[in-house]
Amino acid sequence: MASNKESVGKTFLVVFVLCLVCSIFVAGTTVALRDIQDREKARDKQNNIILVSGLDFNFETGDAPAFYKEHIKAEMLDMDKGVLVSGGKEDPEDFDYVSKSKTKEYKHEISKEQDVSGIRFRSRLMPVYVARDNAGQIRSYILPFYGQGLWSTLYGMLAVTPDGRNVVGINFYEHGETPGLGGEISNPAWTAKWKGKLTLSDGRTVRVFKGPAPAGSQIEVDGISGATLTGKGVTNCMIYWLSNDAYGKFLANLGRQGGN
Amino acid sequence: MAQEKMNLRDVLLNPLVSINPIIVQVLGICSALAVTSNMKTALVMSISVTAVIAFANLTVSSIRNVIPGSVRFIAELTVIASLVIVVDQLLKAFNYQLDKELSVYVGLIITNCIVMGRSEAFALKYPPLPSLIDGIGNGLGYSLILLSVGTIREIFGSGTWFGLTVLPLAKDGGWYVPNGLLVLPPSGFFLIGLFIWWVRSTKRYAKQVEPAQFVLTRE
Repeated sequence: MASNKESVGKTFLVVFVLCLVCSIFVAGTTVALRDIQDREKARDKQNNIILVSGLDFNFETGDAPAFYKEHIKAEMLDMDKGVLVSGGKEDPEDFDYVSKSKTKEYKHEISKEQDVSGIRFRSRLMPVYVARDNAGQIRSYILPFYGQGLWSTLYGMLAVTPDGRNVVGINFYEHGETPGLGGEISNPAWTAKWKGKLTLSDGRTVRVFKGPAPAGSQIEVDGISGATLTGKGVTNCMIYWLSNDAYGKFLANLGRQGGN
Repeated sequence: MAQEKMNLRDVLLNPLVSINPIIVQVLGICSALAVTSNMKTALVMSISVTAVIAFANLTVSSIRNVIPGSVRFIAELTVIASLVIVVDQLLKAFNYQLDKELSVYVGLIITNCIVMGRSEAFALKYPPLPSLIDGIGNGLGYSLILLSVGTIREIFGSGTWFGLTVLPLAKDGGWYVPNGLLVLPPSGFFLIGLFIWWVRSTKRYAKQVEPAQFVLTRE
């Protein structure tokens, strides 16, 4: 082949031009698609909130964004006090509690003993989604959580009854567990088993049992075969996020209100 | 070889079975094991890989005369990686749910040996049109195996096909007890092994069989 094609200068030039063209191509696509992706991501999250809320909604026939707007309202929860606060400077709907947990303003360091979920920090404010039925009655509070699974961080939502005592639903909107094994945590057939369990009982939280849960158990959910470690990760999420260092105070407050 | 008149139809159809990238060339096995537990992911993966091979071949072939030999791998990979990122971004935008299911495997198309292999073996030597067709052919060969394996694994592993119930599961009140092994990656390995066996023992496709390295004799 032509010798000038192989000269050092020419090699650098070709590689440089190729990289430039490719990077423009890639960057162009990313920028062009960003809005659609953000919208899809937000929509996916809203769909997950609707799914977990315990409200009846048919995704095939209904208009999900409109339904969300009508029935779900995001509120900000002050984790230290366990009460919903309104009128803060952050919009609870767009509050990115994962990245905000690393900022000085919102960082809450989790002590080593309590950090079973391996997340190290959490945000001092968390958005809580309040789901209301057609009559305007609160159907559930939806609490976001996250923690280490086997391979990845699990991001999920736990919906609890207005008195905070029972689980309405759970789902995982983002995780990187093995499809078919740990990935089954996002299978509706499995998440349906959480419905009606007690969030807390005698200081123990709702958890994933290894194997079929003991008959009649109020806080144990059947484990997924082949996904023991992912199940452990889910249990750890519950242990941390339902503890007094996280949503525990809020749940206790809900219980007190419910008793009135 | 380049002088020989190339038959575009053969370039397209040969990779389907007789020089199939997975079962004859035994390339791209890893993703074939990972995404075939259900048809939806297998189909999207097939389309993605076919698109990447086709466009990678086309691009590499178009610039084959200016790529310096000393950095040709880097140049090919730059093209392939860019295409894969674009495919991943498109999936994120237009089928977010599936992109979540496929997770890392879309990104791993970069390391799929078929893509690199076709760029190196074909696109660097031939003009853009045959290269494009070769890419499509190999992509279809890959897809054929992925979808076949996916069909068997989803039907017998989960009782469904594209999510539609084929064999009603015992746990949902039907009669079929699914074979749990089929949802695990090793089953893909066994199935691909069986396909390889089938192709190599079929006379029509047996051209690829190498002469035996050793002959067993009785003493």
